[in-house]
Amino acid sequence: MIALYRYQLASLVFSQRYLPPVLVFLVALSVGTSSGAGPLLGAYAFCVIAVLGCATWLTIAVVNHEDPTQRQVVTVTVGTAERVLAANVATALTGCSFMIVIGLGYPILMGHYIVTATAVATGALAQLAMALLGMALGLLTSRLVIPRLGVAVIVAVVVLLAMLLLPWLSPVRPLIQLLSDAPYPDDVAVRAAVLTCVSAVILAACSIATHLVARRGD
Amino acid sequence: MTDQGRPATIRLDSVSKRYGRGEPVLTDVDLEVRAADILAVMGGNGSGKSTLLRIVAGLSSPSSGRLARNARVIGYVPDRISSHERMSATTYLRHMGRMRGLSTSAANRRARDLLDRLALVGGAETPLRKLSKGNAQKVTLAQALLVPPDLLVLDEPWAGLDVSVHGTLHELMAETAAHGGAVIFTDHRESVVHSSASKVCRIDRGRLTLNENTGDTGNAGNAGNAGNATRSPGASSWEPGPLSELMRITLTAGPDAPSGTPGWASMPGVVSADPRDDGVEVLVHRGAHDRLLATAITGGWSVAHVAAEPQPAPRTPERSR
Repeated sequence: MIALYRYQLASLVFSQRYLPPVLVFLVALSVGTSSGAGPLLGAYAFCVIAVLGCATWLTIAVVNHEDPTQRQVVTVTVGTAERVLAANVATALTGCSFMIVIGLGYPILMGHYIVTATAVATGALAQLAMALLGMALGLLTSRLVIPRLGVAVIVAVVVLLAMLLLPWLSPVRPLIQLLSDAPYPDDVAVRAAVLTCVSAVILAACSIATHLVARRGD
Repeated sequence: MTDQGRPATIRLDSVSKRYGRGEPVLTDVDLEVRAADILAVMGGNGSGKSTLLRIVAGLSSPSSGRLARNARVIGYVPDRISSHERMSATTYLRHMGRMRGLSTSAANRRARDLLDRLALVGGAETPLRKLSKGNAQKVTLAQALLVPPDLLVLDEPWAGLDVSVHGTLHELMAETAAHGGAVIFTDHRESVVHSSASKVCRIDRGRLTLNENTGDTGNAGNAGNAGNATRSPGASSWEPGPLSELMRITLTAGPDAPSGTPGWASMPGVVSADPRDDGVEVLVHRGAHDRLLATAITGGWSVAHVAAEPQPAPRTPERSR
């Protein structure tokens, strides 16, 4: 399993397909949070949107950068398709972790925000939640579920917009609300943690759904 | 054959496959491949042979019927090559070897050996996308053999490979079988199929028919008709053209050769095997001789003489067991 994870990470790095989402994330961060001021969570409210979109993109890259035939070869090599998908999730999560670290540090270093421990912890949880939700959407719009990239991109964009606008659809809207509505409640970090757990459950459900749909064609 | 003594590696009982509501791709396929078998599946484009191989490899599940697989290590060589963009052959094979549970150094060593034997042209450090189709195919072949597989599944493995490596592919398949692995491959050329397979089956519009053992039946009737293109009905699928000619091969036991004759006479295409004082003289159909030579060389035998036989010899009693 570790060998499979290492392979997928190396394969992603060699393919350079991780670059576009990461670069877009950095540009968004520098445009949106450089030399800002005020509560740190206000800056993070912007960061989480960037994390959501770029995590989706990165996850699609993780799954799609590999030729379907090569994926079959890997599946035979490691035994089951579940392991390959699990390694996809781990690889995407690794990429997202780097984005989260940058997303947490950049506003602190480049802006004039009021930095508190609670704000950083809440921001970390919120960004993690967004990364998990982005990965869930990325899996559902990857080649495993939607073979045609053109259709996949349209579906991904539409669902991303829906998630940003509709509060009942996913934890995205509640999270952004939580981060942008000052004054913040005392238990802001706890609320973020709960939403992160919900996001993890959503990712798990979407992974299973992706696996079932991908097997359907076999 | 000694079929009953060897365990079945894969067994399909009236397996059918259809995608959605479409026409069935496979219909009631019964198939058993035992350890050390080399089974060839012949069929035209769209006959369902790739689907059959995907089911055998575990990539696809049957719509109906039963499937039993008794293989821990499965090697899969797909028909289309899968070239990684920028990864080199060495890096790719190192990763694939580690996924098989090899250490990094063992994976490197094994990859180097296989690439040497397959004569990879263009360099093991070149990005895979820059390799030609044939050379990328060699890398795909190597990944399936990093650990000796219990079940080796090859989809059109000869397609795109240059002729100089055909012998190596024969050898690698024979070695896998010698290790107790079951081999199943597809091809559409009779000559290739009969020189490497111990069993041949044919697939046509999703229906599989198992031909008899290539070495046992059918060819005896054809042996005498040089140049005769007609085939006796119901005979096994020995192609009379390439097989009407016979080759006389003299083998001498090398220093590390096993004592006693391995079952030369039971190998496919062998007409007779006469023990000599320092070795054996084998009369074998042309087309089946490459595989015999590969087995002999890997078994530590030395090839003393190979010549085409001017007159096809009649069947000798030694062949019937």
